[in-house]
Amino acid sequence: MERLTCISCGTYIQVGKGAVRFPCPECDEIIGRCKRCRELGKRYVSKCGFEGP
Amino acid sequence: MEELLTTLDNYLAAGTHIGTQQKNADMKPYIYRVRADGLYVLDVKKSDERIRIAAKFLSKYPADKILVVSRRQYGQKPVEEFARLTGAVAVTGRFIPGTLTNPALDSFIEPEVLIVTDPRGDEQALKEASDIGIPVVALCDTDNSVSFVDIVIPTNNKGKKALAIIYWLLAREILKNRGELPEDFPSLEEFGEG
Repeated sequence: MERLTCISCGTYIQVGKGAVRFPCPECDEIIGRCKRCRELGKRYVSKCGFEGP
Repeated sequence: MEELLTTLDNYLAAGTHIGTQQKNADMKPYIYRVRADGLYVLDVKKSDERIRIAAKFLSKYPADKILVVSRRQYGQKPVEEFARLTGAVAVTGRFIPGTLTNPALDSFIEPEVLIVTDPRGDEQALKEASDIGIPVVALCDTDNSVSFVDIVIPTNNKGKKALAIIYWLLAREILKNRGELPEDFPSLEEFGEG
């Protein structure tokens, strides 16, 4: 099984306890975000160029 | 250039672009200008674009797995109307702690995505969504932090009319994306009266 990494910082994540996974609104690629990056509101860019949050 | 979801006049009349006199650095990309009186004004085009994106994102989830919350009084009617039209679950008023995390509660629910009207007012819902690891879509004003928010919809989240138009557009776009838009979908005026 492929391990999910945070799209902003690249650390391995486990969903829950602040970390999250969801499909990109534009291209359906699975986006993972770690607790720290979410808390800091760090910018993320999907493969299709979608910028969040 | 892509057309707006509704007329610019509708957006401006509802005051969706009116921000606050405080600015949060997180919201800087969505701010259009600062008025002479120090009021930050949001970019309507970006709000429009974000509603489209959020609707696309939300339509990927089953209707009954979308939770929409509003503690703010002006957001309660639009939220209930949004939930009625799209089949989402609405929690208005006080968000009972444990709603998402305590299975022993009668009000316990297990949504897959959360929509918050104000990240500051709906802090409890935001915290619990973070604990169970579900994505969050939030209506953010110029003074809001985007902490634990995954998709931001920049808008005035304090005005009655502004909240009505945002939830109306969001409901319409979600139903359009699902291919379920009814012919008798309420007009903005009907939606606002709720």
